[in-house]
Amino acid sequence: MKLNQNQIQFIDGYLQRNDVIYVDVRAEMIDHIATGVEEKMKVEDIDFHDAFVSYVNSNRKEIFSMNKKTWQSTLPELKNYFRFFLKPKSLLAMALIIILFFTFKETIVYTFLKEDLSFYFLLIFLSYSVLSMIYFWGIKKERYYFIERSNIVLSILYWLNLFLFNPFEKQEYISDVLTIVFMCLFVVYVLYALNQMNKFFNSKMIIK
Amino acid sequence: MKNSQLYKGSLTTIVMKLLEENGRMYGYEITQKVKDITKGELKITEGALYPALHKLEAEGVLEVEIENVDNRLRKYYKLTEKGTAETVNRLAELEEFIKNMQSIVNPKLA
Repeated sequence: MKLNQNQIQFIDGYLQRNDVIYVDVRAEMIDHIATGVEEKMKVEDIDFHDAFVSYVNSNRKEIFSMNKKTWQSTLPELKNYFRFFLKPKSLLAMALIIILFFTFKETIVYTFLKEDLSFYFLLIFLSYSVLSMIYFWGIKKERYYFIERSNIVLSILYWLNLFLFNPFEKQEYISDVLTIVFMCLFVVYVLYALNQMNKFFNSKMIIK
Repeated sequence: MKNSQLYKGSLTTIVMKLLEENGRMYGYEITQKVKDITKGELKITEGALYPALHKLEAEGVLEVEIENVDNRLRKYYKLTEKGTAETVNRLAELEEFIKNMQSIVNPKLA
C-alpha cells in the first residue's frame, strides 16, 4: 500500500510544525517515515493514521535526530573548500591573481583600490548573503541545508576580512602577501560557491 | 545501534560494503538490510546513519541520485570511483582489526 499525495503532505506538515526547516533534509525524512509507515500498514494491516501515530511514537527520538546539525557536520564543507584549491580552475585563477596583482601594483588603479579593498570584499560578502536570502527565503520561500552549510566558509572569510583589514578605515599600508592570500581565498570561494550552486540546480533537490 | 561503542567506528565501512554489493540504496533500505543480515541483532539508527551518509557524500565517497518515487523524493546513495577504492582499503582495515581482536579475545581460534 503506497501513500498518496495528501498523506505525504500530512507527513511534510508534521515535520514542518516540528521545526525541520530545510527542504532537502525534510525530503529525506519524509521518504524514511513514509517507507516505515507503508511497511507498518502492510504488516499490521492498519490504516495510515494508526500506522503514522504508532511509527512516530516508537521512533520519534531517532527521526528527529536526523535533523540534528552540529558544527562537525559542516566540517567536510570546509575540507572540500580547501580541496577545491587543487582544481585546475582554482590554480589558474590564483596564478591570474598573482600576475594581475604585480602588473597593476604600481599603477594608479591599485593605489586607488587598495585603500578600500577590504570594504569591497565586505560589500561582496553582504551582497551575496542578501541576494541568496532574497532568492531562497523571499522568492522560493524554502531553505536548503545543502546551500546553507557552505555559509561556514563565507562566515570565516567574512570574519577574517574584519580581523585582518579594517574595512571601515582607509588602509595606508597592507602587506602584499596578505592581500594576495586573501584575494586567492576569496576568489576560490567564489568558484567553489558557483560549483556548489551548479551542483544544486542540476540535482533534483528543488521541490517544484 | 546495538552495542554502539563497539559498532560505531565500523558504521561507514558497513554502509560502503552494502553499497558495493547492492549498487545504490536509500537510507531506509540500508537500515533494513543490516537488520535482515544480522537477524535483528544490529539496528542502525537514523540518527547515526544519515549524518554518516551526508559526511561520506560531502567527502566525495558517495554520490547521490534523486528520484521521484511513490509521490515523494527518494535519495539514492552510491559509491563514487574514489569510494569504491576507499571501500577496499576500509574493508582490509576492518578485517585486520577483527583478526587482531580475535587474537586477543580468543587466541585459540586466531
